[in-house]
Amino acid sequence: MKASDVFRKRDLTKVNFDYEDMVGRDLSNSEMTGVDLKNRDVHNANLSGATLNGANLSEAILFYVKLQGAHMQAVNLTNAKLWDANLYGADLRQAQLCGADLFYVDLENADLGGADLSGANIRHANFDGAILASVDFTGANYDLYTWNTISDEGAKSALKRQGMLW
Amino acid sequence: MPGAHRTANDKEQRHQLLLRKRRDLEQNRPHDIDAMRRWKHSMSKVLQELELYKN
Repeated sequence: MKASDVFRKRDLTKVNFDYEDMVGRDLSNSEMTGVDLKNRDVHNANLSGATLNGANLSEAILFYVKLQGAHMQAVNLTNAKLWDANLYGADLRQAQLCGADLFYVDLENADLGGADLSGANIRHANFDGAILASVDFTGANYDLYTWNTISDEGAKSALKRQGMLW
Repeated sequence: MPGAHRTANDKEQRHQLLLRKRRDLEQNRPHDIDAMRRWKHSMSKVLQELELYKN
């Protein structure tokens, strides 16, 4: 075993999760690029630091999931339920979040550059310090709490123009 | 208008009650989908009302 192996991520890219109970699982710092967890119940799981680039998490239940610092470029979270999830510092560039329910989600310092948040519920979501360049907010449902956490004037302008104040 | 005659003390009591409710909800997260939906609904109501207490 080499010293570098100690820090190597667990490679779960070839795992068939179809018959795995995912609720509350600790999958932190795992390599899960491109995995298919569509429509699965993954609530309360720990996926912090995991690599989920290009993964399919559409329609998944991600209530109270820990995703701090997760690598989630181009992840598909269409219609996923992310209530109360922790996405602090997550890399969500080009992520598909259309129709996702992001109620009470912590997205502090997350990178959402080019993400699609059309039709998403972002009420009581925290975007403090988040990068929101070129985000599509078309039809996104937001409230004043969410509004006040956004500091980027360009993103505020896009949200006001495209979103729906609740 | 209901609540128009609330005293400052009533408002503070209500505020404290809402903060307690939020803490209870955060400490008691459910594990089945119907209960999760109810949790979200309850938390939504609490947070919505708490917004009124912000300066």
